[in-house]
Amino acid sequence: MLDSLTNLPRTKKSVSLVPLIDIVFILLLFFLLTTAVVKDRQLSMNSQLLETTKQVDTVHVLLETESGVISNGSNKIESSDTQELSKWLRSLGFESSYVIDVLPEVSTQAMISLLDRMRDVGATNLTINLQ
Amino acid sequence: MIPLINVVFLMLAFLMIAGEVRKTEDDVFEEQIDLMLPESKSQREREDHNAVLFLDQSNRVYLDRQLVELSELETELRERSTTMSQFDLMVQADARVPAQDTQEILKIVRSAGILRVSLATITTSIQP
Repeated sequence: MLDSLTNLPRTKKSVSLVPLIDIVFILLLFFLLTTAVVKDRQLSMNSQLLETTKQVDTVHVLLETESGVISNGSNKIESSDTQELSKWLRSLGFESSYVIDVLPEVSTQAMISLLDRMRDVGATNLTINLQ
Repeated sequence: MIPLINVVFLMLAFLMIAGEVRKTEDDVFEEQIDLMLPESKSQREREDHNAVLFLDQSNRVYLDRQLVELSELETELRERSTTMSQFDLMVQADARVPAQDTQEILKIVRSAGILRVSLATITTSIQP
C-alpha cells in the first residue's frame, strides 16, 4: 500500500499570489481615497483682533445667521456670496476698520468663516468686538 | 513584478500607520472632551504656547487640561502670565460653541493682560 502511494507521480503545488496582490491594491486604493490630512493651524488674535480701534471709519458688522447673513445697520447681505461681499466692502472701503459682532445663536465656526471670507476679499483691519 | 509589489506593500503600511504618528497630550485631551476645532483657511502653522485654554461644547473651561471655573479664570491666567516676560496663549474653542461664549473667554483673557493670543483652527484636505 505504502509503496503504491510513494510511487505516485508528484505534482508541484504552488500558491497563487495574484488574489493577494489584488486585495493589497484594493486596500491601497481605499486608503489613498479616504485618508484625510488634518493640519493644525492657528489664527493669531494679538492686538489687531483683540483691541478695538477708535477710528472714525469704523464699521460695525453684525453676523446674524449661521449661514453668514451680515448687516451694518442699513444694509443686509449674504457674506457667502463672494461678489456681493466684495461689492459691499468696496462701497465701505477696504481700509476701514471692521468690528465684528454676533447674535447669540451664531456659532464660533460661523464667526471664523466670516473672518476668512472678509480677509479673502481684501478686508485687512478686522476686529472681534470685545466691548 | 516583485519590486512593484514591495513598493505597494510599503505604501500600504505607511498609509495604515501614518494617521497615528503624532499625538500630543493635548490631542488626546481634545478627544476626551470631544472637542471639534473650527476650520479656517489660515495657513499659519500652529506654534508652541505657554498655556492652552480649552472651551468645550458644554461651555466648560480647561486651562492646561485642568477644569477651571469661569469666575477664577482671570486670576489663574494672571498668575501664570506674570511669571513670564512673554506669555503666549492658545485658545481651543469648540466650533459648535456660540461665538458669544468664545468672545466672553477672549474678554477675560484680555482682562488678564494677555495680548498674545491665538485661536486654534484646522484645515482639512482629502488628498495627502
